[in-house]
Amino acid sequence: MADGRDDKGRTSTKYAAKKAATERIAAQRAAQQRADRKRNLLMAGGGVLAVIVVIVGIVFAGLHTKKSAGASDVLPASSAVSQAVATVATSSLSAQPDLSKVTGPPSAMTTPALKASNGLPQILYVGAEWCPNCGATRWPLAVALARFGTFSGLSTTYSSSTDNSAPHIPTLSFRDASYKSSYIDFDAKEQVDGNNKPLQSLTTAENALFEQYGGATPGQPGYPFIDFGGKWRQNGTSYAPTVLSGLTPDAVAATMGNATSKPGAAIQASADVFTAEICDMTGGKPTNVCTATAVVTATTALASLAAK
Amino acid sequence: MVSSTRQSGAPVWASPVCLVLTAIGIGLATYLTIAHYDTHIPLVCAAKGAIDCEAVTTSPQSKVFGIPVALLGLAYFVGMIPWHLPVAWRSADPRIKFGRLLYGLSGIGFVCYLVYAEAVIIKKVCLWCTGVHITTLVLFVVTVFASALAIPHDAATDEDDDDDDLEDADN
Repeated sequence: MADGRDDKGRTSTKYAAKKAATERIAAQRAAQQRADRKRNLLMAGGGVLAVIVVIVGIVFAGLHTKKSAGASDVLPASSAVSQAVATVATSSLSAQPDLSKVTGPPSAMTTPALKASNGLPQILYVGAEWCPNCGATRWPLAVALARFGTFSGLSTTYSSSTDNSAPHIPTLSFRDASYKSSYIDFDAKEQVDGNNKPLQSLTTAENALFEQYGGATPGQPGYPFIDFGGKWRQNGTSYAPTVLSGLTPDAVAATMGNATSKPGAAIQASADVFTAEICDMTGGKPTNVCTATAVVTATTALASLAAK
Repeated sequence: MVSSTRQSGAPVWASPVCLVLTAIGIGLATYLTIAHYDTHIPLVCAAKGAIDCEAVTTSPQSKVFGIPVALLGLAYFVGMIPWHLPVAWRSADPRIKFGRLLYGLSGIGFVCYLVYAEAVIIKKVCLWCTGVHITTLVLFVVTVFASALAIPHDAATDEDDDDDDLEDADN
């Protein structure tokens, strides 16, 4: 019979043994599977826990280093800073600059312009991240350059906090910045970082120019040095760095559009002078920049400023 | 005679859950990639305190070997699709099982680097990027636990096996 009973209804011994074996094997398999699952789940839990611990550790490290951050930290510029540079570049063009704020005069020069690989005349900036004069100068230089092209990858930092003349000046850094323009090329070299460690090196031609015109003396590099296409140069700061004392980079960004504030007036006036020098390089292009009120005023004043 | 089909034993929810998470990852990475290449499309992300999406997505760390991280993320999630198709989850092939885990682990490794870049180097947080990181992590966790629950077995042959076992018992 199909149910394992013989003709007299007696259970087959063989069938009972088969059934018992089946149940025993099924139970063993189930137990084995439960054990396997338990072991796998423990391993999975351990693995996931390890991953979470690593991620939490990284975040904790970030919070910890933030607390102990020194003045030489170089961080990507906030969107507020990047936007302010671009905005002030345009908004301040129609204003009348107060050129009395420009205390570091430009100098005329006649030397062959450095050329970029794309043939555009080049502006060379040489500076150091610890340097307070560079800290002050980068703001107007960035604003002036933003009138001819676009920046990306700007950073913010502070100059040395142990500099006696102007400690802890909030500033930009050009170390990771890239600049695109149809009129000029901008080559920025931050030679050393905030700890005076070598950062970016000059080419042979740049070094020759820097040595000849940079005003450096042994052990005292003339930072910042800016060569505007061999026509003009800036040695040192264009205004007093202490104008920015006590501010953060975001605070400078927030105030530099306001020409009635001390930082705003100094940055805008310096940016207009730099713009006039760049317009001299580009032959007055683009016209909407080079014929703007602020730039025309600065262009007219260039000769007298240079004679200061 | 045994005509068995070896199956992974993975839970039935594994494939659909993972595919939904992959779709979310693709959506987030696509948005970040478009915003990276088209500057007219700003990231909807208020810059306040430590949160600043633009500072993160325009930082030097936003590219690896010159390739935008957002694009790498998109490629990662698109490459994730075949690993999570139902047929892949049903397969008992250990190469698929461990390949899927390794692929997920590579994503976690990259997420660790990106979290490090945000927390330690940039000190700003991009909420959209964090969304991608969380999606990657959750997808990895689901993958790991679904794989742990998957005990391969000969699905269609339990009865056959029993018969074989019974024959053994007879002997």
